[in-house]
Amino acid sequence: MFQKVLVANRGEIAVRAFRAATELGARTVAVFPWEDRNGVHRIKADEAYLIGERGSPVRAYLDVDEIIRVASECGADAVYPGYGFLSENPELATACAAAGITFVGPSAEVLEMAGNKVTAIAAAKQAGLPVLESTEPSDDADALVEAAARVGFPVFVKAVAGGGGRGMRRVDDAEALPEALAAAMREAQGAFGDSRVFVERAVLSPRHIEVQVLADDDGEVVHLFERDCSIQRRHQKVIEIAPAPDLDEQTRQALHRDAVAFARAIGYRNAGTVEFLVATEGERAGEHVFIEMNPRIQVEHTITEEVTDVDLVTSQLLIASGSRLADMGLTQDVLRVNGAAIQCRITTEDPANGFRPDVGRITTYRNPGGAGIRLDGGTAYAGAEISPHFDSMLTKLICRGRDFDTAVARARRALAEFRIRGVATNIPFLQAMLADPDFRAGRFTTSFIDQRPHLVTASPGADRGTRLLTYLADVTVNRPHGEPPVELPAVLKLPPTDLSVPPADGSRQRLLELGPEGFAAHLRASPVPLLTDTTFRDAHQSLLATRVRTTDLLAVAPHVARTMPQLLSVECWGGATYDVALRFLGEDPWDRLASLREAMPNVALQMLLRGRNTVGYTPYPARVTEAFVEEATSTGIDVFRVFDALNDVAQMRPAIDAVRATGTAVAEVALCYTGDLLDPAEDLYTLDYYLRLAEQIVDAGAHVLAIKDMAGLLRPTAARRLVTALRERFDLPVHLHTHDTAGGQLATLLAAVEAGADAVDVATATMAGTTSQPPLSAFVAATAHTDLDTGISLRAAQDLEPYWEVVRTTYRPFESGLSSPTGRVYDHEIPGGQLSNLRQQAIALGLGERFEQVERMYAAADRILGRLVKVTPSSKVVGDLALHLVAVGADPAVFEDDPSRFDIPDSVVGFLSGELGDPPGGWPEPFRS
Amino acid sequence: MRDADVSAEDEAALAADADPARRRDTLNRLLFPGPTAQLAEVRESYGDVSVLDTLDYLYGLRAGTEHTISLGRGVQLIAGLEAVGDADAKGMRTVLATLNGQLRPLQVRDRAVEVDSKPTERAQPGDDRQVAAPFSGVVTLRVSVGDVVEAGQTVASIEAMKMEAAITATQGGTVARLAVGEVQQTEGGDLILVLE
Repeated sequence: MFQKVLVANRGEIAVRAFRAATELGARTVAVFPWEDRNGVHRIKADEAYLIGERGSPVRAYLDVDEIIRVASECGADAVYPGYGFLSENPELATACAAAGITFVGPSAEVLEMAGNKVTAIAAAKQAGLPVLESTEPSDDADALVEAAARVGFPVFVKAVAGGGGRGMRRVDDAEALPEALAAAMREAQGAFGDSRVFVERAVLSPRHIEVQVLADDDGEVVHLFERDCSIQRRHQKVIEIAPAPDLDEQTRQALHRDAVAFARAIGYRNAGTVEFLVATEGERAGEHVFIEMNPRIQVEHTITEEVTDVDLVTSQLLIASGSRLADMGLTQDVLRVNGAAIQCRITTEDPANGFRPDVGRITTYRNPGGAGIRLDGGTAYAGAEISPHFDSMLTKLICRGRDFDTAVARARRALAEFRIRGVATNIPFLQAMLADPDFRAGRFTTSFIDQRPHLVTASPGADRGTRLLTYLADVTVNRPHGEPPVELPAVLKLPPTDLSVPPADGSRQRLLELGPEGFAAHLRASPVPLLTDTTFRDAHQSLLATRVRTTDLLAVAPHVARTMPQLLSVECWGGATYDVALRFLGEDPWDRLASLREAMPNVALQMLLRGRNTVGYTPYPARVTEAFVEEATSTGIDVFRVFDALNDVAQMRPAIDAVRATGTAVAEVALCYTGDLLDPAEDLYTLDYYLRLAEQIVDAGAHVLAIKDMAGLLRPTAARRLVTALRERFDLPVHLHTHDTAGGQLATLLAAVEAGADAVDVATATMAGTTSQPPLSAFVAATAHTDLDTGISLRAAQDLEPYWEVVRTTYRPFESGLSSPTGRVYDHEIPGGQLSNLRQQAIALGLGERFEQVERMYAAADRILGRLVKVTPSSKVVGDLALHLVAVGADPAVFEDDPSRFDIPDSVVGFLSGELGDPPGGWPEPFRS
Repeated sequence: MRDADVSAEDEAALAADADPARRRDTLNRLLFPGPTAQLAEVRESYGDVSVLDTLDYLYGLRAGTEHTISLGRGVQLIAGLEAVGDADAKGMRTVLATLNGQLRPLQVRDRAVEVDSKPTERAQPGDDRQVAAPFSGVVTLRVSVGDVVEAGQTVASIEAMKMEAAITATQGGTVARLAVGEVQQTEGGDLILVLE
């Protein structure tokens, strides 16, 4: 045996050879270029030496002189070539011989002969093997037609410069040949600049089957049965199987016989593989032809080892050191096939990216293991850098079983066990192939993959962990929201509610039972006011830029359902929540609604619907509105609060109709309140105006009448007067919504309920006040032990406050910055939701310290535009104009005189062209003209 | 948006008996095309981020804290942070995280780091004066600026996947400019040099 074996290769085959050499008692030597210094083969060898120059690692492995230099210097007495690189290069074998070192493989002459297609085919013919008949390449069509006659039909016409099926066409009979030749030559000239073609006998639907042979110095040859390597992609083997499943016994014997005959005939020595194609279709089905001999170890030698129990690599070393097959116990009569084995090549070829080898760092690497699994690897480990220099194979997965089915089941299990992250792999592709019924039945040919394009698009497993971790790592580095303002998870502050007890029936059951009309009548008849909790929508829209995520809502929702079943509704959807979820939260708003529905099965869920704009900012076709309302209802919405930014009932009509059409949901239609109806100087937004509006709303089919006081301008006495008048004239319940911007709206709520308002909007105290709604606990406390007692427990309201306080702190970067009430709202009339927004916009424009100027300009812009009802989107029109005028330093009076001298923001132009409908006060001069 | 803007296909997806998931997707797209595309992008890159706790979602990983991510019934991930490395020349930092106890190094672009790395130049197809990488691999230049080359002469070599191939000039000329370093990783179609 050798003393020291140098392996002129890298990766798994180098490691494979070291293992064999070590088992035989030899020392091992690795060679590596600089780029491969972290390769596993370097550290698996007893000694390792640097070869080549930086920048050309492949060239280093191909450098015969370098290999011989290292072998001589380190005293190696054998060189093992592996596969690829110099393994089939006669120069290395020759140089080894010249240096007195044993080359583990056949002689240079045999390598030369086998490497030349023409001499190999000639030798095979001489040895009596059936070969793939073909003509000499030519661009003379007549000569080719003549030569084709002895090849026999069907044939393929192939371009000399082609490959991978390009420039190849099948011809079934002699008559069609001249025309096909002309076309093929024309095509080849165009595609490759070389019109030469040749004619080759067609093997229809072939299987690729190869026979492993071992031969010793005495010329003794044995075969180690066959492997089926039909599963190929672009002539690269992907999955190999031993023995070939579903193969006719006669064919099998013939393949073995021919392989041995060929090896004997050419005086082969060492391990080699004789490759055949076996036709499965046409007249010659079952017949085989020789294609070539591989005079080296093959990637798929492993499966033969598994089924024969013969170690091919130690056999190679033993034969090279002069052992006879008989001495090694390898005589044909004792060799047997035991069970079946299958090999999958795990590569970084990305099926989703045209099988381009992916490069990068492996971040996670977990192997399968257990019975029947063998892994031959050498490049893959966590932290390994996959470079573009080398083969993309990470490891070979070899699975054995008693039969083909067991081996496949093991392979499928093992593939599922792999966890490789950081680089793309072909594992999903392999899984899709092993799942294919034809594959599992052993029915496949070399076109298996080409015929199944869907295999290539097999979706990669949902690697949720890595993707989420990638997100977290990005946030960790970039800190888009700064440092966390709180350490404490909010959920620790949830009250100790027993969530195993189902929540008591509430408004939701009432609606299901009574229907929308009955529900409204019940509300109107209720002697005490009912509450809508806006914490889940308007409160965080007005305070935290609508950023509260579903998870924070879902954590508290079951508590609300159980401790406050008396609520009229929870407003939890619509408004800005929809687009903010898509834009900033990476959430689908529909998922939020569906999960809140599940978490609060007993309380009616309410949403805000912007008339024809639904949850958007421009009008949509009625068909979209209808579908939206239908889908929202079936997902969980019970109450739709519908409004129009200009109080134009016609604009709300499609939405109201859509809600009514559901037959199950409540249409709550809002009159938007602005100005001060008590002011004797008020000539537009008077009590009469609101009553006329209410009449239209009732006529439009509303179930509930809402007063939507966006800016918190409705003063207590005005509320009393408005509610009283509405209740006197209409049978509908009245539902009041306000914002506590100036700080006094609790008084308004109380005045309204004393006047008969049936429901009011409030929010959990720690999410209430200023631009949000008045606090729930304050209202409950104010009415407790009176005729208007809501029945809601003050304790329950208090118990939710610590949770929401921590949630709010968690979202501190999104706070509007309005730390106290402001009485200035009575002048500028900016809606609560917009006020926080506008402050941020002003800061962004560098006007943060001059916000009073923005406020004054907002009021001026409102007056210029004709005193609008200000709510999304009309409020945006006023805000855009105000910011624009402040930014350009315009005097409102000058602007008003001659607006044409100014650039006008798009939203203002849209408004003036009637996109939002007609304003209540008509079109202002000078815009009307 | 006018009625005419709803395509027949969308019309079908909005129908009452349509698949709810498809109907919701269609509504998202019709109402907010841009943000809906944003959501798809986030899902593509990061998966369903709604499962993250808000502290983690907004502020990321904190050293010394064990972050639990619940993916479903009985499926939990445990994430942690070991260290964040310095930014390299391209503004990339290595975040040494753990996932279920195993180390997971991740490369993250630090957007606060100014980088003036040149974007790779692509060769103009059809312009014979521009020599491009034929496929992705490591290119080694064999010529310098000012060298006179002939058509068919090797100007660089490229190595990829156990092969070395020559890159030749398709026309003669003087090397005017080198677009890559002496030894550089390239993608197929990247500009290597310009002749004049």
